[in-house]
Amino acid sequence: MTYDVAVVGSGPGGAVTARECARRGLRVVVLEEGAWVEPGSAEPYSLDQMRRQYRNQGLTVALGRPPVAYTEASCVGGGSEVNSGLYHRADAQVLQEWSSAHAIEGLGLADLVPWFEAVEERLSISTPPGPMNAASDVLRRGAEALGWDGLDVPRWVRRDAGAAPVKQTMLRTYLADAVAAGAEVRSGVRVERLRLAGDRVTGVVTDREVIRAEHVVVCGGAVQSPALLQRSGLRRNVGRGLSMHPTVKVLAQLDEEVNDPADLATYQVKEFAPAMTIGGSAGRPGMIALGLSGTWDRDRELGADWRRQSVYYASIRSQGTGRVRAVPGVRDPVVTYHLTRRDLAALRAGMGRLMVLLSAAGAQLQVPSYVGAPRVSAPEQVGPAVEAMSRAAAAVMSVHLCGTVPMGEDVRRSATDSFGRVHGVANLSVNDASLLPSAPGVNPQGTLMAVAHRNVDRLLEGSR
Amino acid sequence: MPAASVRLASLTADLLVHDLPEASVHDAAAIGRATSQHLASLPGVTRAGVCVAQAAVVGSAAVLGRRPYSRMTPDARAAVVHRLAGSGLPLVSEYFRLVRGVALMVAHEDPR
Repeated sequence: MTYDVAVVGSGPGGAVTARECARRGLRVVVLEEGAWVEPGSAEPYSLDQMRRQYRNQGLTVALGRPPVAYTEASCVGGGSEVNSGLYHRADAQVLQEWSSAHAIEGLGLADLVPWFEAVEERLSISTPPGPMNAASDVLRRGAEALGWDGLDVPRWVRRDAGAAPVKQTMLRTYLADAVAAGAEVRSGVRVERLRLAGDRVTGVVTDREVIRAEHVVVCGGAVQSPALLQRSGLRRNVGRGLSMHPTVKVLAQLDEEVNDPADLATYQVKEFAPAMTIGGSAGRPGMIALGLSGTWDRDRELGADWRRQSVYYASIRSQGTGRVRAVPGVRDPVVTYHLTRRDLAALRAGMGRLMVLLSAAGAQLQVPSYVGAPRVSAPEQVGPAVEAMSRAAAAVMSVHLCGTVPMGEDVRRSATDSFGRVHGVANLSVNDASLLPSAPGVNPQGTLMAVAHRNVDRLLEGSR
Repeated sequence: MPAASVRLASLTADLLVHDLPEASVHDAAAIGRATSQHLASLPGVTRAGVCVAQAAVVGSAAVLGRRPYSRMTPDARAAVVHRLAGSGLPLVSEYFRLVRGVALMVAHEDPR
């Protein structure tokens, strides 16, 4: 049997693609390397979730100095199943920057608004009524004391009267719609390479069989999509330009209980956006211990007070870039990232602003998350603590990887056209975060889903 | 379990003698094994790097302890590992940074 469309990857980009194609009556198969894990069956932010729903059990790192730890989901539904569900539209200025630097057509805010609205409706984007959670309120208090701008970020959560809020993951929304429209979803299937014949793709080679398709859409995310293209011999402008949001963290201890291990702060400080965002991280006891691991000899006793502690972060739009390289004979691609001096300075500035804010919010004690960091219990200690974070000691992590298969009309710089169609291969597309030329300064899921809608709409127009 | 994984489990358990003094020998060994299993899922190139770092750790331990790591007493092993973890030596300290982070997560999250 030959499918009309084979979608490689079932995260937000793949789920949008599969739903829209299936709804137009096309025969669609979705191939996902990770497992099918029912939403809600793994505790959020737990080690169990890392083992079941993350690639390499959450132990992925971009090599460099310092190395940057990042995470990639590996399960049906992709990142939507494990992330915090915070929704943003891309900043108009960022869309303009991408459009002009990469000659991308139809990527202005006005072009995307209909697609943003479609995503927002299907994912029930909303801000919870009532007071914020305690960890969020710490950020709000600090921001208000300093006169900084911020907001309680909307989430993809459905709130039916009398029922607990339900996160609107891909499995519960777009993939469910795709399956209802006839799409087939196969989990635990790794696509080794694309099957190419001249300037066309004829299907995919998996670890089990060859699957034939009239059109292949690669949606494996910013690491796996370029790696698959490279393994298939498609290397032009593929894998370079990896972009992310380097992030540093600070553990804060308050007078009151602030830690909900099943949730995190949804308030974000936008005073410095899109260049820098301040927000909250997961704070299970294991995460608290991890945050203290750089100063464990001194701080291990602090862990007992975890209910009064929460982990906060400062993330930046980075000037640095990285690369994804598929190495023959090696299963996992090699990922590298170069953090520039300016990035390191921005991270120090972010950490400083974060600690000033937490002090203003009433934090009694703060421990920046880097090796050998001092404890900070007064505002005058913030400066020295920030200056002491060297490149070697820094513990930098990131999510929101983008930019490895950039779209655009300039064939010297881009790997696909403005709508994700791979240059030089007639019936092959990419439709995920790897198309976005850089990390946008906010969680990119909303943006990539709007872009995915727009791209698949264009693709289907062409097929009519 | 491959020899490198057994060694990683042992080094983790020795690290926990100081890092989690309240953990029993049995618990430390269990955390060591779980940490080793978790780290076995590292991407291939990173895993190879960790193996190289582990070789540097074992070599440094032998120099510091004046006998091969495998022939030291448990107390001597724990003392040497504690010193190496805080040494700031390239590779060696990065190895323990990784191991400590995962071991602490495992210790707090895994039921025993």
